[in-house]
Amino acid sequence: MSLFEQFAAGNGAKGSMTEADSNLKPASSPPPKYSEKASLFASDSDDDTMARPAKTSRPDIALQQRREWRLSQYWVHIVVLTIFSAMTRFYKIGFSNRVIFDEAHHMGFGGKYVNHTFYHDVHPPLAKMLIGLSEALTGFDGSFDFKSGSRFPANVNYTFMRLFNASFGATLAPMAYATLVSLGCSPNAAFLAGLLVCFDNALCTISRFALLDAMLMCFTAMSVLSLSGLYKYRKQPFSAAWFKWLLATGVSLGLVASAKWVGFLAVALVGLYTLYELYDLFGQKEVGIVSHFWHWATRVVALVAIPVAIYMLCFVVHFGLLYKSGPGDAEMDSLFQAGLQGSGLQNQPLDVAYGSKITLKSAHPGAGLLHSHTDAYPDGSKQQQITGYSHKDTNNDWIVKKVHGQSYGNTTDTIEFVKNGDLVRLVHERTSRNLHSHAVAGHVSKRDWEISGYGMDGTYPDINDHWRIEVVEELSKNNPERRLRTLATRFRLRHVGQNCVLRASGKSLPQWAWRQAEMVCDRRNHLDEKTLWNVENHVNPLLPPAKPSQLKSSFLRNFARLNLAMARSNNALTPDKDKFDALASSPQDWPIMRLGMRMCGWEDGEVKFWLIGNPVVWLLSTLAVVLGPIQMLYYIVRRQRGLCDFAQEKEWETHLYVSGILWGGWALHYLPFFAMGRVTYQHHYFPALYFAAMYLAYFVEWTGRRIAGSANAPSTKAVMIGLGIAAIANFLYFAPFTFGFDYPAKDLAGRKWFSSWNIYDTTK
Amino acid sequence: MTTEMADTTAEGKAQQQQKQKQLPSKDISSKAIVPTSFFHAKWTCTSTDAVLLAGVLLVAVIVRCWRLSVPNQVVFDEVHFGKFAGKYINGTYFYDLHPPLAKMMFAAAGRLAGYDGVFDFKSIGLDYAAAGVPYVGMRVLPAVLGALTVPATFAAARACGYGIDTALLASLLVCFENGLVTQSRLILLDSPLVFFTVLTLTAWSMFWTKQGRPFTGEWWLWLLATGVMMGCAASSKWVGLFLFPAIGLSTVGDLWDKIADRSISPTRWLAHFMARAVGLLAVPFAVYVFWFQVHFMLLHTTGEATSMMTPEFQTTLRGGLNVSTDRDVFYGSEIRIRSSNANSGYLHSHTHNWQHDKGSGQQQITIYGHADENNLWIVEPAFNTTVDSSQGPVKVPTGTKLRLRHKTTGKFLHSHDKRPALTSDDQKFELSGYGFPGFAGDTNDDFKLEILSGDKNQVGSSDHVQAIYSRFRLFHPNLQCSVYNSRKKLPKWAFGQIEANCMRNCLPRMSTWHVEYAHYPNATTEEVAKAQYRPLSMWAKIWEYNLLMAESNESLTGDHPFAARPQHWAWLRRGTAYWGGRGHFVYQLGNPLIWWTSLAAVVLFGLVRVVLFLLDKRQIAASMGGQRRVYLSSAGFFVLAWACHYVPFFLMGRELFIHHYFPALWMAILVLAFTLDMLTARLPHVVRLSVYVVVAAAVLHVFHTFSYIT
Repeated sequence: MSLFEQFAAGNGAKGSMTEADSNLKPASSPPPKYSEKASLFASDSDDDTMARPAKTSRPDIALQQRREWRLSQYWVHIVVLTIFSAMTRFYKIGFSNRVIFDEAHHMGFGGKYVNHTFYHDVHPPLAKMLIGLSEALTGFDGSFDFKSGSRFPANVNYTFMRLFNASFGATLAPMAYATLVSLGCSPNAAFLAGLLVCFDNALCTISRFALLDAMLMCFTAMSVLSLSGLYKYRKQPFSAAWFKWLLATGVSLGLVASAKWVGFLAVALVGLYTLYELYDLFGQKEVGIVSHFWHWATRVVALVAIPVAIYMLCFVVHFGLLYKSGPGDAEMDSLFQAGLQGSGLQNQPLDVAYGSKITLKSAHPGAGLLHSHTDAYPDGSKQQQITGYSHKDTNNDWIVKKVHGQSYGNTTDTIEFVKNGDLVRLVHERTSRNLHSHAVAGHVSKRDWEISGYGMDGTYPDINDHWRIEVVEELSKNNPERRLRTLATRFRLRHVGQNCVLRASGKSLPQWAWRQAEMVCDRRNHLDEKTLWNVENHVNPLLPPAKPSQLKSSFLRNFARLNLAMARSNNALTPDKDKFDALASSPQDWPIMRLGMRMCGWEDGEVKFWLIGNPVVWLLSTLAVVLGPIQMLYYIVRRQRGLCDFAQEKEWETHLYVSGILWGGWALHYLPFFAMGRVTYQHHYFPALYFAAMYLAYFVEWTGRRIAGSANAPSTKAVMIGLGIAAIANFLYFAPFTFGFDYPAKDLAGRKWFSSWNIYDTTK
Repeated sequence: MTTEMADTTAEGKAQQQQKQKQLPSKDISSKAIVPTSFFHAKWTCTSTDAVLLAGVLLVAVIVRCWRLSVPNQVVFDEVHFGKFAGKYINGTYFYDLHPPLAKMMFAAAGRLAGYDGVFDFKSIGLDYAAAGVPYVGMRVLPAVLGALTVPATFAAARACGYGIDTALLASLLVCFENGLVTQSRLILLDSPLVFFTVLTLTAWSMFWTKQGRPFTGEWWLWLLATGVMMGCAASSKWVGLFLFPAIGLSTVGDLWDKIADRSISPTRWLAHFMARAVGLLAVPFAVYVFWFQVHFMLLHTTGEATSMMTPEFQTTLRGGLNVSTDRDVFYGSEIRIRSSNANSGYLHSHTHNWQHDKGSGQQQITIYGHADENNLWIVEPAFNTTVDSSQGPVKVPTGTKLRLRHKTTGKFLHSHDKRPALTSDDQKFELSGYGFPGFAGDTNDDFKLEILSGDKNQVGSSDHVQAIYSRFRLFHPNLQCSVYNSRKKLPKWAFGQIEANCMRNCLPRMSTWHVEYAHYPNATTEEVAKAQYRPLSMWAKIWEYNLLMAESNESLTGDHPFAARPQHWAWLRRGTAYWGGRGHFVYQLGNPLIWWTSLAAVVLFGLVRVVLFLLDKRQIAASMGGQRRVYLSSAGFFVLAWACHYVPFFLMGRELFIHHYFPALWMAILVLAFTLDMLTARLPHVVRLSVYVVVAAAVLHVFHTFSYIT
């Protein structure tokens, strides 16, 4: 536990802090310190001497003894918090043998990794892959589909899966402790923070199921812990300890962003901190330009390159594990799907010929396949609708034919291939309508022309049925004639009559077209991705099937496409304002605990879990994050007036930094939810709560120091002890919600502290 | 020059440089990212200034009024605003998504010019001359307002501490800006808006010249003038609201600096604070409310748009809704049920059926805006139950199951496990009219009436259904769903009426109903209690109108061919075609030279600001040849105002046009003039003047080139 000794080293010598600092080498220590990079993972004693050069020069027995005593105190605290965490997280973890809450999704996605079938979800893959790992470790055979509320069969070791997940949740309290110690708090305050995190019912409850949140929280805690280490060693840049924490920060950020996109809020926190630090550094005249370069370079590598690499690596593994066709295929482009086992796209004929039956896939995510059905447009031309549709059915099949008045060979010998620049007609197989456009305004995009299905194959020849193939990109080799190739050719369809291009407008048609994607003929030459198409399915009995394709889809393209699809699915999660959703809650409900959430069915005899925080932790931390800025404003106004409240300027600066990290962390993890259009849930507040709980402990200590003069004043201690006991007592009182109860909810009526809490139904 | 600038002297420069070296963080203008406080210039209008003011006004009037009568047809949005002027003159109620002041000004102008409110401005291209509309008189108003912005620009530049040359240049740039000229020649709201915006900022600049003598008469005059003008701007168009963050931030910055000023006692600081709170918040608010009050006084008679308002609102209009109904609802009463949330109308049915392929084929249930026989329902007891009315009519208590029989067709309101016409959501169910003679019905006809809220002043309205006073939901116990107003328009086969369906887990937001008309047919001759809507107070009317404006603004998402997104405005990528005919066109397009250079000036300011910010941090002195404070504070404020009038548009989903950029454009033009001043400040006077002349000549040339479509 080398990291711990580092905190201890930093903190034990609080009294000597100022001397130590003044003895430090100036921050401009030139980059030649580079050699220290070799000792990045050097032993603790090495670290210690490097980090605190003042120490070795002044052996002080008393100080040494005090340090050792402190150190053992830290260890005791850490061990106690870890034991408490393990007890609260693991106790009765297998009590309910049903699939609870979002376990249905996340254990299900884990199962997809066991089965290797491709799926699509809004979250990045890391945490789900870890759940998959826990399932694989139990020897799970992938046969159970984790349907919501169903009972686990005997051969599914769900207890282990939950234990695996809960162990991530159990790391929170010790990490909160270490973070506060590292930020310069007293062990008392840090221990209080650990207790608040450990005995919060909500954080505990959410960790006890196989969900993504425990891992997300764990990585968030790791990020802020590493950040606190970075803060601690900010005066000794390029030292081994500094490098270690910088690296740890980068890695944690990569992990947290790969668990859930909410993790990017932690990235923002670290980013803002780093920018402020660099700006601060910029103001120091003694730091030279070369040194600046190294400051920037190391941060860019550690805090940008490493997280990006980890994030992308998660997707590499994700694609690598999911090599079979599955429910998520349609979100990806055709080439990717062709690479999946069982997608049926491998052995199709390569070159498209006249008479071939094809499906056309838009390069625009969300537009799907070119589709038509028997419904007509309600106004405009009132001809047959043409849309984009993501699901695969026979209404997506089109026959490539020659323009009106021309015919093509229909034997193996006379077969004629479709080439770049050819004029073609696309006939919808089911309805025999031609893909058609004319000078009639579109239905949603009124500035473009309508696309419709018209005529009965060749019965009513019309030049407006003619389209020119314009090849834009060819991925296969050896295609001298520029033939249209399945999967490999990306092309545009230009309407000859109107000189416009078939384009997915990116908008949805109204209900009369089942909200499918709108297709238009673009008059304004928007030659973007939305106008690009490729052939996905290709059937032509006259042609031999292609050899297994050598075409590989590019990772970067798949990566980009999947992330766009995730963003789109995320934005699609918009709430219906008229509808009551018992699970959803809005950001303003969270800090005041207006709502709890039922995590499962509410029958009297079943094991039930109710997601609710510990009011002592939640309400008091809310109070702290509200009072903190007011207190801050008070001091800032007095400073602006030129009134001096602090004996040492350093005290104020430290307060700014620490508040910035803790309060700023809370604000960054909370306020953005107000701006999000998507549906929000109570568990979105948990990362913010983690910061708020730590801020509460810090706020109590700092205020105590301002008022009573010392962090160890009896009154401050009394407040802290009171808070800790109250939190534990409240946790135990609410324990049935957390650990589950199998008696009627009405029996817990006394715990319905707010009328808005839905512990039991008042009406029935 | 009467403008005194403390640091134009060599001594001042040196002093300032020295000061910056020692205490960079105490210098106000270098501390804030955008300096919010003006340079304290002390400008008083001299006779030279007065002559020049009159001169630029004359030029501006000529430019704005030149051939004002062409075209003699309805141009662009004159369609709306001309028509609204007529409504004010006639006193007929209308609704528009803009606040009333500018429209009322046009009405006043029309009235003075002799417009009688008969011509209806129905479509672009209608002939004014033939209809005898005094349109020139109406167009004189925006032209004069537009012309007045030019001397105001001159004054603003002078008040910011700039010389006559720069002030003249700024006013010329405003005078010969094609876009502003076009806009102020037509009956459109933008000319009044730009006028009030410009006057607000001019008054604000003047206020700053009085900083040295706070709480004097002139100080109050300019502070209150700022507030009144800001209120008028916001009462013309909501774009005027963007003045508040601009002036607000500048005020906060100033008050912040005043905290550091030990010569100002805390009490005096509080007085400063209160004065600004009154002048810049309370006064504009009062102005806004005042114009709305005038608006409602003028529009006293009901009109077409009345049905968009709540019934409580409608009762305040002459000839508007005048409901007087029996208060109590009994079993056997005929009732008309109104949606309490959106003003869509009454629960309705008619002898047409849902489609067979997508629905049940049973009789349609819709929501229809007009009261007729087809939205009368009869309250009957639930299936297989009876109510004994022999002892007199029985009231309907909350929480009871009942059936609603459609009076004209005899069908029961019914719901079943079928998807409604407009959605495939499995939480929503179709509502239909069901039943036929000889069929007793079934339990799917039962609805539980649950009163959500009663009227506090009406005893018993929470326990028993009372017309108007009881707000309730209709809950279908079999399907666990409530009758819901989806606000969606049904297709033609349902006559474009509004869809009603039965929705599970439905919030009261769109599933609250009330009885607007109740009548018990077998009533005894005794006097029956009556119910009426309570007319809204003025505040409630203003509130309702403003909520509706916000809603319409949000939902304005058409696909107008000349709509333009904000990222294209500052580049002047495209204009708006206003009118065309007989070889002439009116095309809304700016003076490209001014648009591009003013944008460049704003960008340049941003760069200078960032560089200075970093230099200050590094403690490297940069006084910009003594120009620093004046440039940063004056240009800084107008860049801030520009950003406040431009950036928010990027967040708006509604349809936007290039004319939304005009207030921001005026601010950018001032920044341009200030930037030119800063760049030429150290050149010899002759060179500087010739630069100005060249710029002015180029602008005039471009103006002339584009003047044919202006």
